[in-house]
Amino acid sequence: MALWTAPPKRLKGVWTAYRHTDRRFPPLWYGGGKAGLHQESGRWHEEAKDVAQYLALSSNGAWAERCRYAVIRDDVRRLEDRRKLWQLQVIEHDIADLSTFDAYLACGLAPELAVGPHEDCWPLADELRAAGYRGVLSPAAAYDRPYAQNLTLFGERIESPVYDAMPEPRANPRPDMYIAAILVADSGSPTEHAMKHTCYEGDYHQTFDRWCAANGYRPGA
Amino acid sequence: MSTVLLEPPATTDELRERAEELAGEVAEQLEPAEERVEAAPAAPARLPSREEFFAAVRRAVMSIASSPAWRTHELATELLLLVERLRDELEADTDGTDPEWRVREVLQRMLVVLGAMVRQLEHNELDRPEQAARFVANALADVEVGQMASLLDISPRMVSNYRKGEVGQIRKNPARVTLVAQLVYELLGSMTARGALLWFDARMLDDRTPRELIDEDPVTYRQPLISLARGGRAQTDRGGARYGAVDRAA
Repeated sequence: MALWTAPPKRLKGVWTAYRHTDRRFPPLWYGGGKAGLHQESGRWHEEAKDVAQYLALSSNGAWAERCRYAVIRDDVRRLEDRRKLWQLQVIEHDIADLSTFDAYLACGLAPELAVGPHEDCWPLADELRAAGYRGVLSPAAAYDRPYAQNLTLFGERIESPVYDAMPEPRANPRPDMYIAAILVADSGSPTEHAMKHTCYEGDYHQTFDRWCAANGYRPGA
Repeated sequence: MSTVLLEPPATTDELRERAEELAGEVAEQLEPAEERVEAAPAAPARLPSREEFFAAVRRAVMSIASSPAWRTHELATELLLLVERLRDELEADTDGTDPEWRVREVLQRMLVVLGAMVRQLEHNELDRPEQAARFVANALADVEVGQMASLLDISPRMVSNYRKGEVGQIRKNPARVTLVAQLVYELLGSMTARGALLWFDARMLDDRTPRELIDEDPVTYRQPLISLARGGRAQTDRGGARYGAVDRAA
């Protein structure tokens, strides 16, 4: 039985997205086979089962993810962080539109999935994959700002390095696999703004709480 | 890259050097995609060099995969399969323009596998306490002696000795020394040496710090700590927020 009462709308389009990485690694997850593809579990994938590309739709959103993951709460640690920041041009289709808490509700899904524990999302991730979705657009759990969204792509993708302006989307011969990528920062620290607007693990997600209050929604009820 | 028959690497250092050399050669072939398209008119002239390149890559991969340490390793199998895939894609790309980036894709995947091989070799080295101590002493060279001694739970004098390259047999806390080395190895791709030191005292595991867990038991907490440090490789938003406090909404 499907987890949703109505399937999420399928989005098609071109997105500008951001992602930070360890300086020693390429921006996206891919490899030569299962042996080299052990991506630690995240919201939309389980380690050793799948991989996913976690992208934010703003650079501050990407940095907030870093602050949350590494529990960076002060300038002392923030300014000692040195990560690569990438700008990516995603050309996709069949992206599940769960971009707002309202969209979750419209599909008969619990909106708290967007910001709650990762494990709770895995059955939905499995179902989205099985239904042919190539990714999901969802409210950001880490960057606690209105309209902050993350775009997650299911499966492997490969970067196409760009050193000048971002090319026209039509220049990409295989957008199903390749994503144009510009290295924005070679050794950057999260912004102060991102750190101040990060929802840390165990914190209350203010944007979601406001939405609950405005809509009379009670999680888990 | 030499095209003569390569002997299988006999030592870890040789193996790592061979993998790094091959990775360098593969990386050289990976120019920005748009430049490759622009270079297309001259492509026919490049075909012989591509054949030479493939022959050299194949020899290097065969050599790595023949080494006793890697003969049965999954990554070696992946590398061999990628060589066959590279052969197929090169044959299919008759004019050498690679319009759909199929050759490029195989090379990029090969580079990732070679990187994983090198990292695994380096990790294996750090499982040796003496090598681990040497690594930490060098990697955190700017960190004050007392702070490093505290992190490794050894005397400041021993840290000074390590920094001079005088590393004898590690009898005290070998499990701690190797774990700290593995963690520092992971962390330095994302932060400065000082940042790595601060990481050990950040409350990120149910309000406990990595140092507290290491103090308690470096063997029990080895895997969760390595996973935590390694998980920072890419952008995942560890854990979940709290929700349900409608009355707390601002």
